[in-house]
Amino acid sequence: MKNEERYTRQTTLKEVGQAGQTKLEQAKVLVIGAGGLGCALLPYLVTAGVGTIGIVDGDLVTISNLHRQVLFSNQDVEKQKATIASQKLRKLNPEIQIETYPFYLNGNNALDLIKKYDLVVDATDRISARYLINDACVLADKPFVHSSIYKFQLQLSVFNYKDGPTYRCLYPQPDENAKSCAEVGVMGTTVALAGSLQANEVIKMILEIGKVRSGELLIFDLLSNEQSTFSFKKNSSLKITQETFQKEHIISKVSYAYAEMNDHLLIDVRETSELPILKANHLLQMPMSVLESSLELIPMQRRISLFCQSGERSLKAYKTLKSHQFKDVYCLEENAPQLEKILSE
Amino acid sequence: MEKINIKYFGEVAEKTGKTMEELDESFNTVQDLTEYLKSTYNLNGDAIKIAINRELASNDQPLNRTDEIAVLSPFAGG
Repeated sequence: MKNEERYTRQTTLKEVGQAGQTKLEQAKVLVIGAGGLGCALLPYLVTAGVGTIGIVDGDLVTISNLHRQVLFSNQDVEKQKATIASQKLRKLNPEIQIETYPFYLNGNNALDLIKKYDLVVDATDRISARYLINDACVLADKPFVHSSIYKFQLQLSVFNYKDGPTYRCLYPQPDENAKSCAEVGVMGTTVALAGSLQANEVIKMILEIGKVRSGELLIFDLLSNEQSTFSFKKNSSLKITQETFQKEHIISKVSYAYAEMNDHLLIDVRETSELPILKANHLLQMPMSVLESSLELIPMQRRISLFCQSGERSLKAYKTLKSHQFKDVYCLEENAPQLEKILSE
Repeated sequence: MEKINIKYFGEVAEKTGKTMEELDESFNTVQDLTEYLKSTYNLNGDAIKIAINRELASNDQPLNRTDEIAVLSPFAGG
């Protein structure tokens, strides 16, 4: 049973009204990431009455999240972010549908998930995820609202809106070295503001009111209070196809047991100083810093399985090898810390 | 002669150690400026974007001394 009174303060606005409320109820929004940005924007989408909201996040709550990820409390530590967020949000508004996806978005699941929704919110904290979201949104023809943070500064833009510019029109190539909040620190208030600006763009797009920040990048410095806006155009020479998507985002993964059984050459792309030091048969050390200049040392005819400390660099190495015509390349499902356990057994 | 005004944001400002500067150099194109920034501040030229008068510029775009320049880069955090 719907309670009309719940939304009276917003339906009183002539820009919203009953017709607008119906648009919100019918809208389907996928929020990728239930971290700082997700915790800031989700409550407002939920309470505004967006009818269907999906939450994607494979991460677990840690104690260091709590200062800014305000949907979580101490007893949630080590639990799934997506699941806990959904539970709390359902209490805020039991009248809407919340779908929970407690796993990371990847090349294999992105398109299917995104196709189910009308618009997407990029609330992730990884550069590689932004390109995945961008490319999947372009293929699925869905707009997405982007925000990202560096210390006290935020960037905000809406991409792929009504055939407008995409993230690649702004930043064509991934800069895998850009630093995350975990590395450089962030205040809760910065993500809160960025997240509510994202929610505001979502609501405007659904209601078809105001001006959507498409083709325009906002940089807001919360220390100096300075707001700068930069315009950019669609680069029509950038083409994203099923084929480029496949090449860039779908990686083949195998388990250590499989790689061992099939005589794969294991390549450790960590730097030589990193721990744990691993010893195994068919193990080659080829740090990421020298990989591209040492490709001749890698036998092209061998099946190759890559690993590092977290999976981030092995993914990068995978793309490097693939771009140099290595055919049989895989990433190991396990990273160095798990391999240490397996190898010591 | 007027100096060229440049603003830096995010990690770029961290690397240059300043949020803005006035340069007494002259650059013909955006590409020349990018080369200067790469060699002076060790910036990754592929990762930065130059805006002229609040509009993203392409590499071959000419630079005038009176232009307002901004150097942007993607942020990772969220």
